[in-house]
Amino acid sequence: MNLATLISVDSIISGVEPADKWELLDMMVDSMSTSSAVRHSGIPQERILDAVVKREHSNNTGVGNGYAFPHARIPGLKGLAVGMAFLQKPLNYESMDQVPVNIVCMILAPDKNPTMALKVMAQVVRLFSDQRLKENILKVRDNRTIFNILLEAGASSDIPIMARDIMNSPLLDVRRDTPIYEVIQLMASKHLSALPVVDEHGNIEGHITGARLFQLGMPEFMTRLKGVSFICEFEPFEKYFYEKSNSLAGEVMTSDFCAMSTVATLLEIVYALTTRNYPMIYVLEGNTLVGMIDQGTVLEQIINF
Amino acid sequence: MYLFIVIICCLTFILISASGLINKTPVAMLGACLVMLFGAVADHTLLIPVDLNVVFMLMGVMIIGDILADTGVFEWFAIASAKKMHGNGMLTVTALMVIAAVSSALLSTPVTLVYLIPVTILLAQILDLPVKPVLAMQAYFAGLGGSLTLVGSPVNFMTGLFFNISFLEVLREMILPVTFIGSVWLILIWIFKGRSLVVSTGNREHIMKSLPEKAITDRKTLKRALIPVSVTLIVLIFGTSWFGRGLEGVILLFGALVTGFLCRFKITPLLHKVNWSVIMFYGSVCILVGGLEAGTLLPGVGEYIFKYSGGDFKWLPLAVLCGTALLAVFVENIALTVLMLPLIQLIAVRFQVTDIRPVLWALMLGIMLGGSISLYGSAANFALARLAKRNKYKISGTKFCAGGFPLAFIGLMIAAAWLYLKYIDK
Repeated sequence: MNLATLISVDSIISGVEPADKWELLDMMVDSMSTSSAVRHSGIPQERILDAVVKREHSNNTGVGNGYAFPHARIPGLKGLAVGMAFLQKPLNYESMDQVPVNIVCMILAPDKNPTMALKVMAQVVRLFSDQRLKENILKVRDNRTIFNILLEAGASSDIPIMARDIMNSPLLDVRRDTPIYEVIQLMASKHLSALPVVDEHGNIEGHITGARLFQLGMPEFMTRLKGVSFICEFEPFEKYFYEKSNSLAGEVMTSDFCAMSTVATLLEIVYALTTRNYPMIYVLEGNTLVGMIDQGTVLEQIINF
Repeated sequence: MYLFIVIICCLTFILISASGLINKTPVAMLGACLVMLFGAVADHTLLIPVDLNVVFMLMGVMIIGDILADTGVFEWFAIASAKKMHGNGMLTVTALMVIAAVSSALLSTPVTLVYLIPVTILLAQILDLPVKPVLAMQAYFAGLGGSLTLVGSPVNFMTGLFFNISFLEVLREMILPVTFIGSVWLILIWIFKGRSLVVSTGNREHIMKSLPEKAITDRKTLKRALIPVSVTLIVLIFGTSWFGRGLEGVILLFGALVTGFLCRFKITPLLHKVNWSVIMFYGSVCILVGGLEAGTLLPGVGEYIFKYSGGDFKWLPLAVLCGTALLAVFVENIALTVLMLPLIQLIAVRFQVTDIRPVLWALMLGIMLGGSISLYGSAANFALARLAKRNKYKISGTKFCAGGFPLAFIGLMIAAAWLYLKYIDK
């Protein structure tokens, strides 16, 4: 299915300068009200805006690198509706990497088939990975011309979802000589379940997981006990953590990480996360780390779409 | 050439297992394969010494031990006794040593130590006791307790099954020397280690506030396991008259499987409770020793002993006691037992002895006493060293040996006196 067939000229916005992202969302929902999927379902515009805003509040959809994918699952929607906004003046979207966005793609999906929406997102990112196309389209202020460019690009949304489509960037990593307390602070502040340790070339050498950090505070013999609830007053963790607090990332990291290429399929990713119990998948381009995927990423992007 | 290969394999294995540097099971397996590949005798004949009864017994104690351990019963025994002793350091350590000895007698030393070490470290940390000496003392007592019964240690059940000695016979003979040695050891520990086992009031409070009843994490399984395990033990003790001798391994494995099924385990998880590495080790060692037998080395040694002793059997138990105690410090205990059993059999034939049992008691006590102070000589002590090291308590082999030497020496004296009074000077 061509991406352009999901978008109408009316659901494209360009040349606007919204004050904030909420105004932009309002504008985009308004422009999409004429799309056939919304029109035929007879769902009030306010309900759609509510769903989109609620979703945005629960989780920021600014994925980084100047892209945002506000979306919502709308019960009763007759098909998939896609709207796009091209902002000549980048807008602060409070994205993960704090980079202002200039390409925003709103996706309204029916209850069923949420992976279709993910495919659209993947296609948009892939389409605009062509830097020349991206620059050209951002210069244009006529919606019809933008539509034609999208049509000519002939992008199909019937493509398998790959690691590069769902991986998280920007990337957070540490070096071997990073003190462990900095690693802990970084993981806690970013709510990460694992963090890669890379060399000066960006090649992954190992990783530090949350479980590994807990092991530092959990003496080995305790893991062999069948229970510890019989002890009411004894907390050795502080002592063990203190003993390890001067360690460096290189001393704590383990090499049992899972690395995949950018074209690894969704099936491979879910298999590694669930069956093999890897807390994090590191996406490599060549030997260089370019992204990370954890269970939260998959749940967020696919199951909880 | 064949004997040369066998001797090289055996010596390499002995050196490697004594060093404790690498896992001895693959070394023994490689050696066994070489002996069979270069065997001058038909391969299958070397498999004959592998006693399935021993394999079944090893499997049985491992399965029962693991089922019980999963319920938290070891933690319960440890914490409940510590609380009963009001957190008193010396009494708590004494209780831990007695628990280790009794548990070893019923479930074998290696199984006991693997499950008791974690909770011992926990208690030692809570009471701020010196962890390494406490672990070492527990290991000495576990070894001693293991020598009390047929199932208590691999040495005992290999010996018992090889010579058709029943559970009750071993218990009846060993109870006197073992309890006497244990009592003397306890007194010595109280005298020489008492000061280092003093616990502050604050740390005692931690123990007094503990809740031992919460240590049992799976009451249902424990209740289901108690009856079949007890019945198995009773049958083991008194059952030889019903089933005939030499079936202890089968009885124990049968009891373990019944216990497992009653506790709602399926066969695969039950088999996962078996430490196959130990089984493979035993099998490989048997083949290595089988190679020595086939290579005529063992008969040669037997002949030499006969000539050297002038055919006088009287002092042989004492010679075996001291000789095996010395060898057990350096040679892996299972391997040493497998080596000694056919040798003793050869000697019994050569000396035309009607009752070889004094030599067997000497063998059991000798290997136990020598092995108990060797960190890498017995599977149990090796497990202790490994677990302690993982918890940042690196126990040095020489210190372990030096610390236990006075105990082993006194134990040897007591054992020698007992053998002399009961069998030599009668």
